[in-house]
Amino acid sequence: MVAWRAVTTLLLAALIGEGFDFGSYGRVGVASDLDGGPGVATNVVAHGSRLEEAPYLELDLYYARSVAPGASWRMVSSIAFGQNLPHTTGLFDQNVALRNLYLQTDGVLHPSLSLWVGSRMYRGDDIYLFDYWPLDNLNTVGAGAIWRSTRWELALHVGANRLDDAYQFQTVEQPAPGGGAPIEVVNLDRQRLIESARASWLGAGYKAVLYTELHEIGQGILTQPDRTQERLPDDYGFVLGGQLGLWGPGRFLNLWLRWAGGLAAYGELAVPFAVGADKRAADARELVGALALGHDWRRLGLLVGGYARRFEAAQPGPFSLARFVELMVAARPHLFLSQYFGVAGELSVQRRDADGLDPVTGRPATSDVLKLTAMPAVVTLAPGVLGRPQLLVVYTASLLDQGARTQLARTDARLDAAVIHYLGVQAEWWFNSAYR
Amino acid sequence: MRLLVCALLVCGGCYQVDAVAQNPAPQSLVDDWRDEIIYQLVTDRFADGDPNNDQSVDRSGLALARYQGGDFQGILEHLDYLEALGVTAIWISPVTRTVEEDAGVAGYHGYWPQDFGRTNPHFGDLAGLRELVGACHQRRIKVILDIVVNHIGQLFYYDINLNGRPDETVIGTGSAGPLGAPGGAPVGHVTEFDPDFDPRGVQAATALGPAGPAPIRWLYEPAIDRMPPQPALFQNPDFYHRKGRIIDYSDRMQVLEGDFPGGLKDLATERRDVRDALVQAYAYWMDAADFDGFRIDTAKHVEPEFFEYFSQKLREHAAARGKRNFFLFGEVFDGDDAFVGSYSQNGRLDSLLYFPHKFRVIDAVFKASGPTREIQRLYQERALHYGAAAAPGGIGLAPRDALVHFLDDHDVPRFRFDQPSAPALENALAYLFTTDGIPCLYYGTEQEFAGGNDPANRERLWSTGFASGGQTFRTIQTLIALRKQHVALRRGDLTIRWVTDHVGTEEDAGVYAFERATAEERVLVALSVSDTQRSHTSLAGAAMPTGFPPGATLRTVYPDQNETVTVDGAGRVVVELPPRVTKVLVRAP
Repeated sequence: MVAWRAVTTLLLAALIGEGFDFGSYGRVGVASDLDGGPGVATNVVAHGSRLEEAPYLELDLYYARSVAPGASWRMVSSIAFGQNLPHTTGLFDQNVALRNLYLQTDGVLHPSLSLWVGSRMYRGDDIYLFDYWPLDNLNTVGAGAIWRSTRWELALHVGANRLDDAYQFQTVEQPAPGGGAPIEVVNLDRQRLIESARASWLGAGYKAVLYTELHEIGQGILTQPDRTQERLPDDYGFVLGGQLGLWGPGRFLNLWLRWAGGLAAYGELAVPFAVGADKRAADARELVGALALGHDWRRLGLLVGGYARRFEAAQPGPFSLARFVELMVAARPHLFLSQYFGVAGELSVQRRDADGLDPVTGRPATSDVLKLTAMPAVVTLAPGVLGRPQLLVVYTASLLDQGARTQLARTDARLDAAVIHYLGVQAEWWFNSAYR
Repeated sequence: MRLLVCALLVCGGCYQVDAVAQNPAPQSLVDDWRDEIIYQLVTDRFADGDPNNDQSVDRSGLALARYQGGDFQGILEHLDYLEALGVTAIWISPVTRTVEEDAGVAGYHGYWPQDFGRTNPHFGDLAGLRELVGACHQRRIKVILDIVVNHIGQLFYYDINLNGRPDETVIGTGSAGPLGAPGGAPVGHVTEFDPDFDPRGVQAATALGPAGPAPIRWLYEPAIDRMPPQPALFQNPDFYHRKGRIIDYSDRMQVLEGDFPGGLKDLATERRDVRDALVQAYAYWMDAADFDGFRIDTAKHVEPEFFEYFSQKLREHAAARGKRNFFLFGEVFDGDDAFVGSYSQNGRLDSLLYFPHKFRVIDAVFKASGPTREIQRLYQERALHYGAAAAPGGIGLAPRDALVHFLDDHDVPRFRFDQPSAPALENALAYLFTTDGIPCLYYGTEQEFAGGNDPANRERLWSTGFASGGQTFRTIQTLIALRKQHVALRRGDLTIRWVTDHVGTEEDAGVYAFERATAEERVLVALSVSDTQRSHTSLAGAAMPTGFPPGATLRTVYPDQNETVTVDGAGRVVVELPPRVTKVLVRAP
């Protein structure tokens, strides 16, 4: 029997000892389309292959200290940089974000209780191949409490986020009270409040999770450019889901099921892009079934990921491109030729079937992409398929059907290409990371 | 894979799209277009059913020159309202993609085409349109599409000064004012978007003099859909007359070959390739959504011979797909009856919007209480001016028997704008639904809208809550039901029994009476357009002749059923008519 508390204590101790510590997750690379241009991702589903993602970096800075035996606190901060690299744009204009900034206490008020407050990427397990968290992936400023027992854990959280979008936030110009230049006045500022609860049961080589979220946003008034006022109604959403995780030496399997409605169906950090006749997202629905599998044998490794997702935007009428089923399946076998060098490949299939007609062809909007990837050189500096850091050479041939091609702009060079190429080199690492 | 995924995720919607994924099977719902009651609506103004296509919508409801938010979903959700009113066909404004905005006015009306093959995203997509037409057909409501064959939107400019940039300049300083100089050149405005008509074609010119025909350059402003037209063959410069804007409407050549005001570029419809392109464009819509007819915009600005080809091809196409009685009627916005009628000769069009009737009868007689003899004059001219034979492959009716009568439409002030009297409107409606031809009701009439000229006459209907209890709504319901009940009112021959030049205090002032008759039925309609005089169908002791047999008792079926009159031994009858009252009488059993 694994003592859950002991495990977490050991993990925390291993993760962050006393004092400062540092961690990072990063990926960077460059690719060509073999036609003079950069390699670009070609996906028709929401979560495609990680291999074609843009550069990204998280720098984690931690500080931890014990206050008593079994009681400690730690500060976690993660600065993230995404998208543009100066070497590809000539500009020093990196997008930067503070993705973690929280303080957590462990065992201070009670040996089994952790408390945290701050801005936090609050999430569970992911499908590595897609960089996708199918069940829980919250980004809020809030607070949480985690109660751990020997075999179970209960985590409660409440937080808020607010996008800098007219859906939630607006300033308008008004005359300054004392005359002179007009001033900006906050006209609309409504937070999305999210509460979550996660109950986990841990056993020998398994865990079971039940999960739920509630989302609320209050009403507000939006001022249009012509100074007319539009009433934005209150809205809400929910998530119900679960996860079953199995693991053993060199292997793991995670299965997820997520059912979301209303605001939550669009994601917690997104503006509902379609609403019902009452301008609410309440009728939106999302149902996801997902799996992630990893297995290491002596010289062989395998990662598999897949999800099926039904999404229905909240909008009047049954026919819409925003109502669809999508499927993504990928498998990445890895052959270790030596301790640090190997070859790998990846095969993925993605499909989206929409309840609407393609605006170009007038036919049902279905699109398929088949990707065949070869990684003829993979340098892995830690054991296993998830061993990192990793350097690799990657070539992907993407085959798009006609439905996928119609989503490209009329002047897109890929429109007439039988195969879309992606040849590049990449590096990925994580250590001591808040990511894993 | 789709079946598996759908089964796994218990999705109910996966197969719904199949219902709208193919061209619908053609349905021939019309036996005789005279049986139909057409309701004209502006898609953007009828009902807003989907807030997700409300980008740049005016939310105040006051800026009627901007999009208001109406869409296909809105019409779909209010078919009950149309059924309750009693209409049997709707004429919807153009559905194709248009220039989003020009000179501060939005293209909500659809008359500025940019893409002949795609729907306007403000209204919905092809699936939504098919769903709407399908739902209408399930209720046996026919759908007529408004189409444009004369022009495209303001999609190119004339590069007069050959600088590759659209320019608007003011030239000259004149001889008066602070900038004027003795003998100064007259002040002029030159716009490369919309230059004045030049019979040679718009000419290029620089400071040094003429430079030959001005090339046209397509505009590229994706934010307002001011893009080269689609399909791509419409990007051929030779498809256009390129002669500039009409400045003299008395010049027939300008009317035919000039650009419509607003910079709407005139198509060279005399060319075979242009004709074929338009046939192809609209045959597509016939197939894609199974419309029951087309109303053709600005037909006056297209040479009549165009329709001999266009209509023939569309009729052949309809026949090939098994669609009977596909209705083609045009808008010739003119009061010259002979001129309007010429578009119905030689099988050109099945029918026309009866504009001469609108000006000379609705406006001059019903609004202004003018002499009703004008109705007779116009009726007599009809036989001379309009086609007397059904077009081959057409609707099986002679154009003169199937003219589309209306009180007002989107291009003229509403009836109540300059005749606010409720009895006058009821009077005109009663006439509209009892006279011959095909009645057409402009949306909002039933809600007593009184807007003036465009865009004030394109009000939001949903502001009324689709109330159905108002006086005019119920009057129209009653009149439509009456028309449906009596085949004579729909298909009967029309015989005028009484007209007058009297408009004052004479005993028959304002009286107009006519009969509609089939072999089985005869209906007498008597009305007065006088606002003040109690009149009757008699003058100096001479009563009105009728086709009813002597001694027959006639009973009113409208506005009430309490009144009877008896035909005298000479076959004549006197019907008393209070001001603005219309009486419909049938033979009592």
